[in-house]
Amino acid sequence: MSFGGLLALGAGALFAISSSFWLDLVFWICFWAALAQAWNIVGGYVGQLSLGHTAFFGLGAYTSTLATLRWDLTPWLGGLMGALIVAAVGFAVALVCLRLRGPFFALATLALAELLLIVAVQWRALTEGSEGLTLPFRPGLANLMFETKAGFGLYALGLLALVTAVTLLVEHTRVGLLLQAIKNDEDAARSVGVRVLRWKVTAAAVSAALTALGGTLYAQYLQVIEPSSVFNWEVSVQLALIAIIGGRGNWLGAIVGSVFLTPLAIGLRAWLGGSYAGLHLVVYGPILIVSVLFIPEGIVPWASEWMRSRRARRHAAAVGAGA
Amino acid sequence: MVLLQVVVSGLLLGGIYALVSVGLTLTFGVVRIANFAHGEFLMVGMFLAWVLHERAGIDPYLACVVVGPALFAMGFLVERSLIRPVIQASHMAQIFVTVGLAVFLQNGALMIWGADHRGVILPYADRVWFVGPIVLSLPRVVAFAVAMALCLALLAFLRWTYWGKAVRATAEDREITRVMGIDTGRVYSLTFATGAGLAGIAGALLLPMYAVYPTVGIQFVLVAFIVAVLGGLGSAVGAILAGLVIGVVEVLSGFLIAPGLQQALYFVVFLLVLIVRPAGLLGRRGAEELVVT
Amino acid sequence: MNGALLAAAALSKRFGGVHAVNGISLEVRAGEIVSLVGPNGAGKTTVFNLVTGFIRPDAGRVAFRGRDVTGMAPEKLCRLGLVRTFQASRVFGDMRVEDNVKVGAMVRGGTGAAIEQGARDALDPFGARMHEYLDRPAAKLSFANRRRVELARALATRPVLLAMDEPTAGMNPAETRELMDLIRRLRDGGLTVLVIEHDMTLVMGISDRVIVLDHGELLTEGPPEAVRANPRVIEAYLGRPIVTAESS
Repeated sequence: MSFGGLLALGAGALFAISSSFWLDLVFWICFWAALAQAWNIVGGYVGQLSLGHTAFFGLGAYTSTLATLRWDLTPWLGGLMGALIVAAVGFAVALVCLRLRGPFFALATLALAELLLIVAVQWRALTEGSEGLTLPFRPGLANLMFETKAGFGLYALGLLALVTAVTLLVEHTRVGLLLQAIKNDEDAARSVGVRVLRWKVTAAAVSAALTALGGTLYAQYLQVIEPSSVFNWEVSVQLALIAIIGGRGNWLGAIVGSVFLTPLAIGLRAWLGGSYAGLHLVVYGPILIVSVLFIPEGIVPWASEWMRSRRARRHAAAVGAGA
Repeated sequence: MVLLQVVVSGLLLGGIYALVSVGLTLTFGVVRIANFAHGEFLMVGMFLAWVLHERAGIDPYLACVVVGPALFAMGFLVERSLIRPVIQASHMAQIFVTVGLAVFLQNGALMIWGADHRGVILPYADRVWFVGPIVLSLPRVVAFAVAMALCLALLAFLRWTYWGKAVRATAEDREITRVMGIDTGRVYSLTFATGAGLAGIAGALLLPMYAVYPTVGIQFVLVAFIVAVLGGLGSAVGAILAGLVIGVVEVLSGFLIAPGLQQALYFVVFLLVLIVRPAGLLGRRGAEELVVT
Repeated sequence: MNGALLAAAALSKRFGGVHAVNGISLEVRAGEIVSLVGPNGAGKTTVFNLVTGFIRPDAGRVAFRGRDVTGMAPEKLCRLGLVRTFQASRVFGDMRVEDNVKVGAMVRGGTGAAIEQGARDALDPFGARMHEYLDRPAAKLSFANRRRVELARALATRPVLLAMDEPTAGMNPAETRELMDLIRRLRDGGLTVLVIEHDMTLVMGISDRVIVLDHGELLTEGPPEAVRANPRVIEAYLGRPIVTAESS
């Protein structure tokens, strides 16, 4: 399963499909995969769990949207601004928390998300409060807005490609080994000279910045953002869930996880309509628990391990038969 | 003079925060797990009290007698089924098992009761007492009194009873405690269940003053954690003191800065504590480690 | 603190009310093999953690290669040339053996090829058998092989001083002898070695000097034979005064 192959598959699908429903689905699959992939950088590869990535998501969404509305900046720049601001915030939070043992990073990111929710609601002068912000529909590449869903699908695919590229870069360079060492045993890593804190904080900042780009994507697609949708604890849960179920520390994991979970979420919501708001999330709870208890590494590592042992068994059987 | 009023109001609020956090900090110290579903125990307790009031007209303060044991039992079941399997597992497993539980409970409540904010109006809710220049609202005083009574009872339990000492011993060194013949499994269940029960009661105490809705737990779990960290993870006394401090800080900041932003201050306080003194007021250095040895 | 490679002066550390280490001074000179011994609870591990940067002292100073390194983090100490191994043999379990050692080699920087070479060089002393295991996840190795991986990883950092925490724990006599040979060869190659040990075969067999701790304080130090015969040392281990023939 190569990265290029998947990209081609995705792009092909976007061109081939004409149904609005399916295009929408592909968009959301790519969107959530990109977000989960970003979380994975700090959650999967380094093992530092964030429970508040929605903070980075929402901050990115608001930054690029405000940049467009207030200063008429193109979302390319607005999104970049968002990413930089969020990188700084992520860096600061990580620096304070990751030098301590314990769930402080999880707590601090959670608290940050709640804080930003409150600020977004209260600071009406800046954010229009609960009413949210609306972006005018001005299609064009310069505005990162598209007339067709396929166009947005390509945008989402592009972001997924970017985040996956960063992940692959980590995996294939010495950085990947260092992060894995940190995840395995921080003290042992320190004893052989690994600058553990520096790497953890860098991973956190990169992860946050990429998540911010996802926020911009969201804002551009829906053209409406409000505090309760972009600073939403369920966003934090969903993107972590996808990475965990698909496979942490593995570039394919987030993608596989999204392919499984996003249609499930959309399907549940569509099937039950408005009558059972939150049913898909009720299901998430047990899914998360079961997955963490029984397939802790995630689907992709579990599947590849299963395939490997099957091949080994077949090989042994063949050898036995030939003996 | 107004300042005194603010401080007193803060203390009254802080008493409840203390009650919510003391179970959480004990769970931290004994079971060594950060229970992200702790706020949901409060939420369930709050909804239970609301249902009892709506259906049976039971006063929330009286409902505590039901809510406490009910949430204790719920906490016991949760510990046995979900927490025990992950005590020796990775941090990720521990965190996400409790997160999964939180998500499940929040959305279960959403399915059952919907997202609307619900409250109870008690006939005596707006009664106030005048103590000198201070105005005390009845619900707040009752909540504070019950909360503090329970906290002190807990401290007494920890200090003087067999199981209380077993809890403290397990927090110090679980291996040696086990070798000494104490059933640490029961200690875990007891600690976790007590935390749930106290959180549930706190929910019932809050009902006359706050609205209940499915995600009300998120805010309170944050406060609970911040109070626990400020007080020193694992220290019950620390949590009680820190609860009072945070209560005062919150009301004071609402008064001095802006009413809407008072909860925003939690984050700042939290970061400050982590920067300056991660072990908290009464924590031992290194107590912030969640390493299972 | 004069010409010694590693020197600690008046180190103290309390945990709660207990003085784990109380005013200990010691030094390790270049090219020496020094053993740190003492009964359980003597403070060896604490001293070890203090000089390798894993704990900060409450009082006292540590100097390494002439620099004050009191409170310096382990990763920085490693860059200066001090590396330690752990009693429980803490390898990176999910990572391949070769990658484990490569992480050690990375601290010296260089190209990918240089790092791979550094890893290979570090694994050489452990024999050809380790080359079979290069691809295997370290967690799947036997206990003895995990120790070798951990040691190779430490050596890949090209240290000047190697500090080992009970390296023979769980070893049989043959393995212990093999380790003793290895340590001697490393010292002959220019490495200085500090060991915490309980195994007297190793301590007596290879140490130039033995430092004895008891109850958080320095009891005595000197060449192995002198220390072994010292009645206070015997008393510390056995816990009561020796009844000699005259006083019975």
